[in-house]
Amino acid sequence: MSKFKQIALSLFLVFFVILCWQVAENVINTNRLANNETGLEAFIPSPITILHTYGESGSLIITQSMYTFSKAMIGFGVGVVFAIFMAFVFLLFPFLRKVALPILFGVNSFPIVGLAPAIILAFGQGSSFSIIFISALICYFPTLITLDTAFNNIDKDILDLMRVMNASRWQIVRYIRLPQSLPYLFLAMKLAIPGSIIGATMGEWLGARNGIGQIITISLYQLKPGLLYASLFLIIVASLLGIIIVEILERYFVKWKHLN
Amino acid sequence: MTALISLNKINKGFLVKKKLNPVINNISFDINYNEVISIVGPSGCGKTTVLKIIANLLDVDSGEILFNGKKILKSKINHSIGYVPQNHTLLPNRTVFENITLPLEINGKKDFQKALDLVDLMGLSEYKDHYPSQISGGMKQKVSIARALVLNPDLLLLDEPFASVDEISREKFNLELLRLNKILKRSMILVTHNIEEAVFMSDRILVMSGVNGSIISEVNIPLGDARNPETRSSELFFSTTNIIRKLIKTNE
Repeated sequence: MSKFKQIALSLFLVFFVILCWQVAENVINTNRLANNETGLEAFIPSPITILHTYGESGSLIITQSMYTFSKAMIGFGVGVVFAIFMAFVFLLFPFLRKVALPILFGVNSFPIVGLAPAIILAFGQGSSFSIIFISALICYFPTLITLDTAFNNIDKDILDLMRVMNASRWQIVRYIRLPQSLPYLFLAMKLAIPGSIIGATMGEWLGARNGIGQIITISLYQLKPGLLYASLFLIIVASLLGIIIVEILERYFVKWKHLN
Repeated sequence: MTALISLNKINKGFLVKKKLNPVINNISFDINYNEVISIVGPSGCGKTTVLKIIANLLDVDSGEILFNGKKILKSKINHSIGYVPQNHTLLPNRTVFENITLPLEINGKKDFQKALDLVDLMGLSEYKDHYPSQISGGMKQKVSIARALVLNPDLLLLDEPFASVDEISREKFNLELLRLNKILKRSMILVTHNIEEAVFMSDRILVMSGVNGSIISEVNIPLGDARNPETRSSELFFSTTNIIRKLIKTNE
């Protein structure tokens, strides 16, 4: 199947789900109103209502989401760069890797929902630093673990061959470990992008004056499901956009992986 | 005349559950300049281990290896050895030509003329800019052989280089390798499961025992230098392969 057909089919599927949602919403809403019950729109908005919300509060959602996405991107950058740095440190000092990796796995299993309030308490409510920190933390662990696995998962025959060629440790990193781990790094980045936005949103949700997390809180307390869903869909679109950008970068830097 | 490489009373074992499991048992043999030898034997008899010992990828428990009459030191890699592992191990991120030039780059050599010559000699010009994922399994092994030859080694070690290709292609690659070696005049050690391949390619065959990892027999191949596809149909070829087959079967 051609790439164009794949995209067209995916878009058709999304459109079909939205259409079903709209039809189901209309039917259920009519029945509930006929039975003197609160309309479903009060809890779950229809796609048309969400579209209306973008029209009414579009500038608010966009402005607030910029706060969130900018912090998420900084957190993403910090998390990924620091993970790459640590993966290199582990590569250079295998002893440190043996000692630190189980501890890092332990820290990673700590629920971020519990850790986020602790970070906010430590760095201050509404502080950009705490939001960036939560976002970076979510990106850091999967990237580090994926990259570390890729660095250490090289075919033994290739390593033997490099020894026969008299390659130094640095040359093995340059010619083998680094290029062969690039697809895994991009995969980790694709997983980290939604994580960074979720982290930033969660940070704002727990106590910030701006951002999409704050809009979600307000829409919840003011019973504005349209605003809530509009914000959520913007998060999805932003995540997808980030993944597409990483995919484009991957196709450029790891073009050998995408050959016919 | 000194042999290119001499193995004297080599022993090697691996620790399995804290117990030394002997794999190579008191092996001694010489390889002369421009000689092609094959090592055959049942699976797990230690053929690849012998190659890895010669390539200095494994330390021996006892015995010594002399290269040009000089003892090979532990963990000192010998540039005069080219190694072709069982899997092609081409780097997927480098083109065919970049894979061939890798040993030159690693050893700080900037002149890639030798690589270009090999590409021409081995009929790889058409695929020079292809990536490994774009060429066939047999072609990958050819690239792997070119890469092993690019540093001009005296000895080429080949570990079942054509195990993954079909019988017809294997015979074609055997012929090509012989043709190449007539030009380059290198010594080669070929590890193979295929008795016909061993007989066709070699001047001498070492038969390893499947019981205790020793060499049970050395058989000189009386086929002469002029080998061609018809050689495989000759009576001498059949009788030699039968001798080797019997030797392996009686020591499985």
